[in-house]
Amino acid sequence: MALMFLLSFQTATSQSVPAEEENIPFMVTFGDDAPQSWGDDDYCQIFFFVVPASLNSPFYLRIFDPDCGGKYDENREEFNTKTRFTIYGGNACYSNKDARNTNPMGNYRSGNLLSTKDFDDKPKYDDQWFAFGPFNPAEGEFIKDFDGYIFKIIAEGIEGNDGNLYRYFFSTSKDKNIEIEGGNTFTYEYTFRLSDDKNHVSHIYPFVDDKVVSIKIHNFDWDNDGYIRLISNSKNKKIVDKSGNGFWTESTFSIQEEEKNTTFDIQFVKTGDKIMKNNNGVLYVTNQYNEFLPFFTTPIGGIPKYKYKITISR
Amino acid sequence: MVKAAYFLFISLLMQFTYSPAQENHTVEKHPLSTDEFNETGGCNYFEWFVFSSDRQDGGYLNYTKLFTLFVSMNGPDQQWTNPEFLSIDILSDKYDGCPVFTNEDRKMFTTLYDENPLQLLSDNKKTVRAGIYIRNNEDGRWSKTAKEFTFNKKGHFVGHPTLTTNGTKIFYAADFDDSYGGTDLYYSILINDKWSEPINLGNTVNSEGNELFPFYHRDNILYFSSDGHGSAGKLDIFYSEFRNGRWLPPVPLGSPVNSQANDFGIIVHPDNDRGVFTSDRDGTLDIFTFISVYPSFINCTEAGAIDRCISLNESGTMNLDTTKMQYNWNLGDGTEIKGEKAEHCYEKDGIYTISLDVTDKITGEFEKGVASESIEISAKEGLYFDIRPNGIVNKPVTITNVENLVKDYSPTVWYWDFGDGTKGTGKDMQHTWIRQGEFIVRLGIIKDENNIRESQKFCVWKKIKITR
Repeated sequence: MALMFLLSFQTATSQSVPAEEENIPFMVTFGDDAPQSWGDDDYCQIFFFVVPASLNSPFYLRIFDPDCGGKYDENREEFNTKTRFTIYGGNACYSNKDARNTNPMGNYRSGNLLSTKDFDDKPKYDDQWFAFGPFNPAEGEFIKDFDGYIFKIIAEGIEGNDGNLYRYFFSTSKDKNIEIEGGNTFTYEYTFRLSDDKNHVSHIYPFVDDKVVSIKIHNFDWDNDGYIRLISNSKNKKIVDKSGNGFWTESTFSIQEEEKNTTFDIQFVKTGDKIMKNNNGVLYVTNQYNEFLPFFTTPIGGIPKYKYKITISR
Repeated sequence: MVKAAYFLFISLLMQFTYSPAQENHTVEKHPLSTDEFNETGGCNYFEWFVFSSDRQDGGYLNYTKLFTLFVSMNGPDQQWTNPEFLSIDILSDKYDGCPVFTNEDRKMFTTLYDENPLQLLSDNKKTVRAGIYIRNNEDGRWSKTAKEFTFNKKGHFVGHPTLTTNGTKIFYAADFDDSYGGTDLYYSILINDKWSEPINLGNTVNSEGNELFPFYHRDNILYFSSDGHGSAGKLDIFYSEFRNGRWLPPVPLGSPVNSQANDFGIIVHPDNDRGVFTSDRDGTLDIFTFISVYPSFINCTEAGAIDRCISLNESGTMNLDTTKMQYNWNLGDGTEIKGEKAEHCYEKDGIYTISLDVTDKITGEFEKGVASESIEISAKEGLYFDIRPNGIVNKPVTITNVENLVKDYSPTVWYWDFGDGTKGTGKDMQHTWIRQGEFIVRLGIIKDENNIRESQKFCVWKKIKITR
């Protein structure tokens, strides 16, 4: 993977995942007995969290509604799903290339296991927060390009066939969501629940570095729901092909010079004659070398806006 | 009086022939014309006025009754001097037609007739044998021996030469075998000091009658006489313009230049607004001067369209439909255009602010003024008017959008030449052509309207095709 430049993180508005800027209701991870066509291709979601090197106090990972059996979760029959959340730190938790793959394979559980817990279908934490930690920032893997310590959180559906809907918050407090200044979260494959509301617009923000010449957007099981669009400083809401039920679809776009080292906005607009309910989708982006691009929950450099320019000729 | 003459506009009854409905010239008999003798021609050779005549004085002058070349000068007292021979050296037993001088006046092209040229003008025209001859002037004397033009033909008529300003093309009349009838007009081109084979000007200029006495004007206009093209039965004077590679149908000069008699041998001043011609309307051949009532405009350019037009696009947008966005362009003059691109022509010069509004057709979101640019619109300097390219005989055609953008010109009078022998003044005009053909419509303006003859002029033209 190409090294990233030293990124200047804007002061994060939150380390919630999904973030406020994304406008995504929940992340989702299905039990590994569920068919993929329900919206999860690999029953696994890996997120990375960056703690700035300047932080010298402990922090917590808070999970909203971690168990699978309450008001938000998705079941087809009786709830029967167990979800395991594991936090890794230490050497290679991020730098091992298997950790940055979109599929859980090889040594994706690299690093030091810091904490883990399984949550079943008993809705003990339904509509509530559970906190992992405290964690020492130095327990993460220091990455120079981020000027911070990276931790890895893996959510896996280890039993059952229900969809576990949840959120994260990286907080300085065990009991409250208090943001860590300068922190950010990112993933290489996003599996999430789309809104049920018509005209709702969600976003995810891949970062395109200066080595990228073209990108390919892969999406899975979109059920042809609404529109997917791509926005950058030079792309004005380009339509991205949507996948059907249980299928992958790719769309390729070339990258202009002025788009390098900027954040893109992949936008999901819930519209159309048929509004899908409880629709889940998976999305990742690769460059021309088939390397995965990260999605930052707080977009690097801010939310991109297309720059209109009038050309006049006589 | 001259100034008044330019503004004189006389409306005559419309005639159902080629005759235009107005008189565009004033005509006077030249002081050198006499009732007793014939005078023809009238070109300038230095300060001398050269003409051909059969005048006699009972003495040395012309006792043979041949046409010979004479010169006279207009003295400081405005009196013409007694005509003298142009040169005793060139006296011959032939009839001299009026010459044309070229090559810095060191060469003379003239027609020498074997028979009396008056026969050309008679009602039962007889074949007159003649040829073109060239004399050189060396040390102030014309050569005694005249060199024959390459294409003189024994037993035939070849005469009335006229040359382009640079002397590389010669027009003349001849009764070659390929004529359309009688005498036709031909031209040859000078290549490596040799004249090319005669080329017939074609049946737009040449009729089944006789075309004679061509005169080439520097503005690509050929004047000539013809007893075809709907003339009054005898020779009338016409002009044809050479535009876009071809000769346009001849236009009669009309009364009072043309009369019921023979009118021919026109010589036009470079300014195209005055000259001389010959006519036998008073019994003998006489030289007449004419002055155009309207100012003449030469070296006109073909009129273009006022270009205040722009094209707009958003530089990063290709195939707007794929983005489900709608663009609305505000052009700054009240015009709004929807679409990926916009094209617009402003009515006036000025500075305009263009802005773009965008509607997201998927979400309905409207963004006003996502981009804006200022542009200064300034049409290219020139003279403009609009006329449709086609019209119908006897149906009026309206000329519109007349606009002057010529720097330092503030015309109050707009001069029109409709190409059919009629002219007029006015800004927006309407004109009816009474015959079919292609016509050059010319619009001219004058910088200093108090000094029409000397002032700078500007003019443009457009073509219209009239059909039945």
